[in-house]
Amino acid sequence: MSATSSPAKANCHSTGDEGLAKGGIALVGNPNVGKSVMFQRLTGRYVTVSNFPGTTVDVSRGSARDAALSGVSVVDTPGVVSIPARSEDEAVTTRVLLNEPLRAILQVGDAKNLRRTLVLSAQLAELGRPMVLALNMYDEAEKAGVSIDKEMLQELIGIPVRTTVATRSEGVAELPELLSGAAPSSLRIDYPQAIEDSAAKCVELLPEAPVDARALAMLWLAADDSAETWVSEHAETETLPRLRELRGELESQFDRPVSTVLQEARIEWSETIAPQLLRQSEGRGSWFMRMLTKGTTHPIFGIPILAAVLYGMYWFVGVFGAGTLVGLIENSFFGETLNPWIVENVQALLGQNVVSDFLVGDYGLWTMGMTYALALILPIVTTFFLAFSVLEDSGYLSRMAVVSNRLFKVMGLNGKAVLPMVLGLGCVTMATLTTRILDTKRERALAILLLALAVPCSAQLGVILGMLGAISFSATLIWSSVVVGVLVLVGAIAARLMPGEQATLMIEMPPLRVPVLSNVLTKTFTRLEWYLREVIPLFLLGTAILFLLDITGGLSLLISALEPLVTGWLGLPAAAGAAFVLGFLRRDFGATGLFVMSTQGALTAQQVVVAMVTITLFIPCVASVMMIARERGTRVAAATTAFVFPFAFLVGGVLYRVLDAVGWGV
Amino acid sequence: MNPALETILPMASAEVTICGLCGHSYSESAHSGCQSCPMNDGCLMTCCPNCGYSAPDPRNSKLLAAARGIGRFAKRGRREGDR
Repeated sequence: MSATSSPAKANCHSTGDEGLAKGGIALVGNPNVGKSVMFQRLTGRYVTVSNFPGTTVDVSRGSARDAALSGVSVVDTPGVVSIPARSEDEAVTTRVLLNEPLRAILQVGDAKNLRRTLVLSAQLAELGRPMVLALNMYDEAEKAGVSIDKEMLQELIGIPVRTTVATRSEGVAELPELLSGAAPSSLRIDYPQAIEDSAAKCVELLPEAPVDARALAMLWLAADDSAETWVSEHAETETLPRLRELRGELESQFDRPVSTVLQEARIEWSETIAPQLLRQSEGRGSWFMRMLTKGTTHPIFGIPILAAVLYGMYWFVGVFGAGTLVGLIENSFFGETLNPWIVENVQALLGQNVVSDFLVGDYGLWTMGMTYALALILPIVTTFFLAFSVLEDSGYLSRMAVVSNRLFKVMGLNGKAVLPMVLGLGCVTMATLTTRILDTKRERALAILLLALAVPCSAQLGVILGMLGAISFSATLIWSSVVVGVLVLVGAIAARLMPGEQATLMIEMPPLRVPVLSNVLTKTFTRLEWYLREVIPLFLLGTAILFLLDITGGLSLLISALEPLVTGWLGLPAAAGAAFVLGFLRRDFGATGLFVMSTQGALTAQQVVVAMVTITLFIPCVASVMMIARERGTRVAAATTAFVFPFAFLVGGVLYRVLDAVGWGV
Repeated sequence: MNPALETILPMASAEVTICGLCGHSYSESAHSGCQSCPMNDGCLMTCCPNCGYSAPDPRNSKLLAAARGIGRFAKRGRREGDR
């Protein structure tokens, strides 16, 4: 972007070709809606792909091949989730919309995700550029039993709307004609009065722009970086302080960013009109599937269905995986056949010394690290990943989130804060990143704390639940109740401390269907590989640390130091201290150590539950701490860690006393 | 990338991933925060551009590729046996 303010320089991103000089066509849409295929259909085989000036983002440009737009430049912009931009890619799209001479915008939307498409339509429409909407992937929408009243949609947003299947060129041929005669949309979303007033004042001060003055004012007030640059380059120098003052005054009137308030208004509009436009076919699928689809999210029937699904998982992972399979693999194969043979041969080869101990001793890389990973963890995570993949492929996972969300809603927790926790089932480290969607620093800190405290990723959840399942169903129930109770308690306290407007949890629900075996196996294989590649190095590292501590006498000292906490407070044998040391690295590693102790009869059922609850409330893994430090700074990471570990021991100790008082599992 | 590289855009041939949470089908992972992730190098996860749910990416799986290779090998062996 040029630093000068002349209008000619403002368009410095143009490629210089004739078509674009007259005004090109910009393809705009959410990510993965088929824009690139649509672009190819409109332009032909050869296109220019180059970095957008001043960025590392690739932008494709080509010339329209249809006679109606002959020679007109077409630009395929990066997918946008929202404007103001949250990434460099999204910023490029805003810059194209703000700077380039465009004769029309072609919004490519996913017909299956009409609500999301309409949110972007609302924002693009207010730019005042001529526009056409292509509802792409319409075949997939129809397959899902969805049809859209496009005539009504055309009337509502005042632009031509076509349904397309770009991969098969269906509906694409009409688009050039429509684009050549396109006009701006008549749609106008009404924002809160304070925003409208500020926008009106900004309009008087803003320079003439290629987009509608009100839209530019909204982008300015929403603190969009591209708009900021454009206005700084084009506005009179003396008006800039007043414009910034207007934005500051508006920001002070809301408890969340102005961009969020604007987006909420667009979402509300989309949520209002989408039901009028969507027709869900009742004719597809069996009666049973339709009833099940309704039942899974029903406020009352959804709960027993969820309980039945969880019980099924408990049986498959806990009883079959951690009980039967581990018994066969760990006890029979590793314990009686493989490990004795390896130990004998390694000792025969190396003699009985520190090297052979490091490999096959009590804390040996093979006898502990690899045996934990392959004989104990592998059967459990295999069964868990199979069950979890079935949940995913059947479309039930999102329904579980909806039913669970009601619980969080009851305690007053913001729906937006629930989403990172649902995503935490995939990967807590990645879910930490999604806390960015929360509006305030305090909300983000709370969500990170809850994630670090009581949301195990699917792999850790599988290991811990499986091991508890092998002990007893009541042990699993107690563990689940305490962990959910901690989430509810911390969430409720936080909701009191930081009251605010309740945001709704927005998750799109795929249709419920019978899982496809190949999909389930693909997901299971992929997860297994990911998990083993991630945990085996850590297991070996943890084992090596324990071995070093053992031979230097540090382990005995550490166990003695932890004894008041482990034995006095938690009521566990002192040796469990070693498992907690492993738990600092990864909580599932620590849980495995405790499981081994319980199978050897060193822990009672009560002690297993107390120990498992304590270790579940530990920080999930080293990567998640690093992520917190990256995202929120070392102070927040240190504060979270400083809270989580003592709190975990506190809950464990209280649980020990409660179970002891009622005489459970002694 | 070369500033003005003449290239042929790929048709939607890339393997499509279906999000386990929202059911969105996508061919490329998208997450604005990936660059700041400490585990970004060698990350095996894919992230749904629609809802942000992450799962291991089947396209990065060597185990899956090996399993498929064995499957193809077995199929070919059966065909040759039939002949």
